[in-house]
Amino acid sequence: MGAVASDDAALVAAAAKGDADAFRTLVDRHLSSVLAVARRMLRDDAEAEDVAQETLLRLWRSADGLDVGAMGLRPWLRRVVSNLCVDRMRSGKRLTVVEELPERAEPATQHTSLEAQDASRRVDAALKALPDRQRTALTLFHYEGLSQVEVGQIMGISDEAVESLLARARRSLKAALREELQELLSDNPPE
Amino acid sequence: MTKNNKQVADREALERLLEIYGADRTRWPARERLRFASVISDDDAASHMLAEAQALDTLLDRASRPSDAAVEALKDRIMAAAMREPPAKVSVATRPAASIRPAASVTSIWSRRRVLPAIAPRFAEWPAAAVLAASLVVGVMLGSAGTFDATMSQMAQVAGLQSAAPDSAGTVDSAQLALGDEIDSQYQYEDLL
Repeated sequence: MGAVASDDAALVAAAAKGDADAFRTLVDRHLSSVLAVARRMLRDDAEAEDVAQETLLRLWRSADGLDVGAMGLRPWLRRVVSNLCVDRMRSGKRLTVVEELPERAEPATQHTSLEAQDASRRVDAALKALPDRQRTALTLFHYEGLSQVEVGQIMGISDEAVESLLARARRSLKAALREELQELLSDNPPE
Repeated sequence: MTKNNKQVADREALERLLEIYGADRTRWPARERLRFASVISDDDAASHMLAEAQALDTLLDRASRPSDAAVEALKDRIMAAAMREPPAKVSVATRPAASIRPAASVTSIWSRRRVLPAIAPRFAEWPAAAVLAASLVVGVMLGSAGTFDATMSQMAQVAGLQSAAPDSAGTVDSAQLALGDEIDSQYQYEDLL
């Protein structure tokens, strides 16, 4: 077990005994990635925050007896948040889908130029325009690094169906981001 | 298969592979990695397809992440919600004071309800049943001893429906007792007329 995994295990054990500081450390460590998955899968920021909160609260509730694997807590959290998102999409209890990105409160820094922010917005919009299942498959495979089999297990579909969803998602994104792709390719032509 | 046909088939297969797995070859199935290693190095069109897929992956990685302010605010909400509920199977003794629910009244009521059946004997209802049975026996005895009529007669006298004179001593219709109030109010109404 790696250092992070064993640290996660120790924090989970402490949280199971009611140690609020240990739980806060786990929240600090994992919330961003949990929220990122939820945002990409659900498109709606408020709904994504609800799901991220529920995911971490499930950790708090079930910390006692939770078996933290060799990869740490992240696989468990990823599975929980993914399942919650899939459940929401299936149940139809979706909030209004926001097609346009809300204005970001984060001020521009040296590292995030306006141009980069604009590119992020276009990519976000293209991702949000994907059908739910395509976006879910792409989120789990590309952003979360899950295998095709794992994606299929979470979504409850076959490997072939996962392949089909991924292929259609990338085709749609290529069409939606054609200009950005050309810019990138002209900046970095293939050798 | 001619060389051209094989090239076309390879490109189509590579395009499909890139659409599914993206440009990161470590994500490709091992067999496909081996198959396309030489195709990409030998065919410019295949190489260009890989570059396009890499550009798409790069763009996907530019998707925005949640702002720090939003994440921090959410952390606080999660901690507040967590402190309102204890983690599973945690004894109060080991829980820090901050995480103990401040309002324990509802909890204590429920815990009392859960504890009571354990403390109280299983046949706690017996005294009530005994009183009910005793009432029944006393009622039967009074009825059979004829004291009921005497009691009714006394009640009728108190209510003024029967005089205490010996000539009027007799049975009294119990329905009269029940109608006593109505009869009184009827007399009052007739007086007004």
